[in-house]
Amino acid sequence: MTRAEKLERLQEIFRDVLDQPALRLSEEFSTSDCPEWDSVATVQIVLATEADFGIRVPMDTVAHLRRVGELLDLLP
Amino acid sequence: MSDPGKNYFAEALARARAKRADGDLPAAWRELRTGLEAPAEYSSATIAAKFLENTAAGASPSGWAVHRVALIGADTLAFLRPVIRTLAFRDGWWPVFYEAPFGAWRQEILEPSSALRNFLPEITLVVRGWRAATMKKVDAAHLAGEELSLARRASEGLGLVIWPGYDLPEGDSGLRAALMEVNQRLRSALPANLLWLDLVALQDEIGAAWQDERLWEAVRQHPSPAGCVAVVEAWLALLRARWGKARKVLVTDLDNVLWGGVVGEDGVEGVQVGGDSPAGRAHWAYQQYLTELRQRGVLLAVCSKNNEADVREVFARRNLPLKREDFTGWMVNWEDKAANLRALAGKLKLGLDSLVFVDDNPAERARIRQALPEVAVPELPLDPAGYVAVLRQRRFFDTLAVSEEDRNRAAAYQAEERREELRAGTASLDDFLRSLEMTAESGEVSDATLDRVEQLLARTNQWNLTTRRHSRAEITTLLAQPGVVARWFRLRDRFGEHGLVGLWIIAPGEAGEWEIDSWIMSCRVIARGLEGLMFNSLIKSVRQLGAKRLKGVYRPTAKNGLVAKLLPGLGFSPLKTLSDGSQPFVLELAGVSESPHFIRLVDAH
Repeated sequence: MTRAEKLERLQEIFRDVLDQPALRLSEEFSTSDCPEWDSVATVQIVLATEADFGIRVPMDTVAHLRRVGELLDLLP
Repeated sequence: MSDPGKNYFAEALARARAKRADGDLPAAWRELRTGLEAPAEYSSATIAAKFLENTAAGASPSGWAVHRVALIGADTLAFLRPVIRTLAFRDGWWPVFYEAPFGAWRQEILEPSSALRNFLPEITLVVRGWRAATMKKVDAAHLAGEELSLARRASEGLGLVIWPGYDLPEGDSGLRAALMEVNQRLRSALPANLLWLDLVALQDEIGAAWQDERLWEAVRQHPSPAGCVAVVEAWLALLRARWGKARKVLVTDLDNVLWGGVVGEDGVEGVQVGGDSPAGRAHWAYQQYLTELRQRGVLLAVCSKNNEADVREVFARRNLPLKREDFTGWMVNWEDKAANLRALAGKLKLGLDSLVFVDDNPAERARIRQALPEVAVPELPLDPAGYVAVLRQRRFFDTLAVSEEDRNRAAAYQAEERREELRAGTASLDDFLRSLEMTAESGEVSDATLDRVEQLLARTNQWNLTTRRHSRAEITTLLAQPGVVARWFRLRDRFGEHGLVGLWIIAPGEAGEWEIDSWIMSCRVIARGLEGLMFNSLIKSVRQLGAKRLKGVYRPTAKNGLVAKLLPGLGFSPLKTLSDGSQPFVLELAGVSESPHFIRLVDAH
């Protein structure tokens, strides 16, 4: 899977979690772009990403995730 | 990941989003609520909450019951709130929240003019995990005393308070033993107007998934997401019980629910329950769960499309955990299930909102959700081994305490039981059939379809007009004769493919006459209107052959009572009954009009 394809799948997850059906996700998209991306949303995003990609996100990322690129780096 | 419940929810959410985009909010709420009949799961619940809060823009949808809910406790509360939002919505009410600041819950209870007290909560939910106790000296008597004085202060001015016991840390620590003792002391001395929540019981149900160390370390969340869902389900069940809204009746389907297999096809000895097969064990476990419910005072009822004689025979001849007399309601017929449920509620003098409807057929579930939204219709997994877990998770029937009256209720109803006429359904069955988006395909029987056709002829017992069990060789011989036509029918709907489920065979008789040799429909598609489409194709074929009259015969068997009235219903006139009990009919083709149905014929070969 290319990085662009992974980004597209993440986009689906972010759209669901943030309830923004038209959201365009980029690697640079971060918590400062979206006030609704809070710690609860981060956990939801992590859980959904884990289920979708079959991975386990490390604790530090759960605690400190701020930017889409950081999550993208973890995907197989 | 393949998780039917999750897909079911995702599809409902997509429909809700589409309705919202159209500006049709009532329809959006309806779709979302339908989606929430899937077992609650953390991700779906929080996604639904976001949808709800964005769509309602902070206000409750008009006409909804609103309750002021305070959420207080030692750990992070933000993860519980969306789950409460969503599941309360499913239960038909809208919480307005107050969240106590992190860790300040004791002060908020004790302080007479705290923000919590000024909020004037109607409901106060208390959250705290076992770690809240680790900071204390592990002294059970002391900790329990401290909690009880707090609980007494909480018993005034905070509405209905649900006070939790402590959950327990893993392992065999002194803390674990001490907390078990604290729980006992708390439970026995808790002020009477507080509701007790047994967290250890929830923890036992969920097992290892109760804790998620990673989420605790990262965001101070405990219990795990799955644990949060279990806690909220338990809270809401307590509230329903307090409000007198616990469900009272479990209405169950029979074939592939109470037992494995279809009694009309597999026979009384052929249905699976108990014994050595995994399916038999799963259905046995389901019946045992129903037995347990009945002992707790829940009424049991059957709503099933079967020949009643078959069903009585299963109860008479098979060794089952449940007996015929255990069912207070008994709706075994071929009527629309929505009409049956309405009649059942009337007979029991209960609201439709007392019923839980358990059926393995997604089309029946959709029918009830559409016609009777007050009835709870849990979405079931494909595997019957999962039925009990789904029902337990929803806590439909939880009461505050099982009373003697609860236990006797079933008996009381039984004494009062009397047969009432079925009331006709008012919500339109036509609308329902239309909503199934059915399409059919049809073709002449050929080598490619011979296997399945032979199987249908051999196995179909119920919707079978003549029950002629032609062998493969006989069909081939028959088809070689001039004027003989055999057509098969496949059906699909928006829930999926039913396969090749219909067949008719016609053969020429006396001059200008054709006769229906066989007419069969699989029990999977009974009451969908496929017979109408099949009849129209039959008429079209015989007309093309130049027929003036069509003859048919109903040959009664022990199982095909369902089609006894089929031909007269289509306009056939009865002829003299034959000595073997067969009832012949004739139809003059001149004045015949099309039979109505809601199936689109997509491909006639």
